[in-house]
Amino acid sequence: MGDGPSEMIMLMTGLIVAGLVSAVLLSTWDTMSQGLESQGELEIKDAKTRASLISDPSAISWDNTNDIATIFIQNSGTISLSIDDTYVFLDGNSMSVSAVDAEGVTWSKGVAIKFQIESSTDLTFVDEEEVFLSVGVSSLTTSPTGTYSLTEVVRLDV
Amino acid sequence: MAGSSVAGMIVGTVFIIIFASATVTLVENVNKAQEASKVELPNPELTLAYANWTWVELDGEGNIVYTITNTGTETVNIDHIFLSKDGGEPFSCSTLTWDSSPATYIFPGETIIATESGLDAGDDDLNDNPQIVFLAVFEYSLAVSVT
Repeated sequence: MGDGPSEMIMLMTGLIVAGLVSAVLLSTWDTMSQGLESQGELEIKDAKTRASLISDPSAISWDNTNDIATIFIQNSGTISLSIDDTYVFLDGNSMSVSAVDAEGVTWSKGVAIKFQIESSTDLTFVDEEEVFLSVGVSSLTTSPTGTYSLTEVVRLDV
Repeated sequence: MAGSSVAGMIVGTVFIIIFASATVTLVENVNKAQEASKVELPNPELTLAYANWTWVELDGEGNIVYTITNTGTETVNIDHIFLSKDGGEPFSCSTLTWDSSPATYIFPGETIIATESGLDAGDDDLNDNPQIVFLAVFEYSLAVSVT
């Protein structure tokens, strides 16, 4: 009986410490687990998100007067892409992108979309100049959003 | 002493449960990460063997006959194959006239011949006597000279 109160104190202390430690560890692990799960889902979505340039890269028509070019991008992944979230850089310059005749079109696997790309600043290229074209696309579905970007050398037909 | 033992046992059990669940979750997430590398993207492989230009005097127009062979292991939907002439706008192969109808897919090892007709003979637009045809399907592309 003499040890009764101290044993009870030890027991209660042990339980409280174990409870606190386990609560902290479980909370931390839950956060880590959610992070890893989200990362895994994002990697899968990224892997399914692909696009490719189907215009002839050796002859991309460029208009020096209006700073406009037209390119065709095909969905080469396995999930639908968002037409509105496409971005393009030409020779390092950000271009405004507008889809042509794409109203009501779902950019699903294999579908090609015609994009008119235009520079807000004056860009002057010479005929047969070779520049880098970068295109970025995003998946149509979000949470998470899959992304993909491609960069190709293209020869401009001015 | 009995209380300490019970407390120690509870603490130990809690830690074992935590590490066990941590291991299970880790294995699940590793498996999920591996799924990303298992995603199979379209991987077609085609050969545009010939692109033959002919001028039909009677009709006053030119034709190009394309001979396309599926040299890969995947069946390819013709809708997904795009051709462009001399850097012009790509057009889907499904718009061509095929020798076999209805041709929707090109199976591995299969060769299909398609004709594009109604091309001009003059030198005033891209359809005139083209020199190079570019074929693109997903991330596979090739170009051949028109003969």
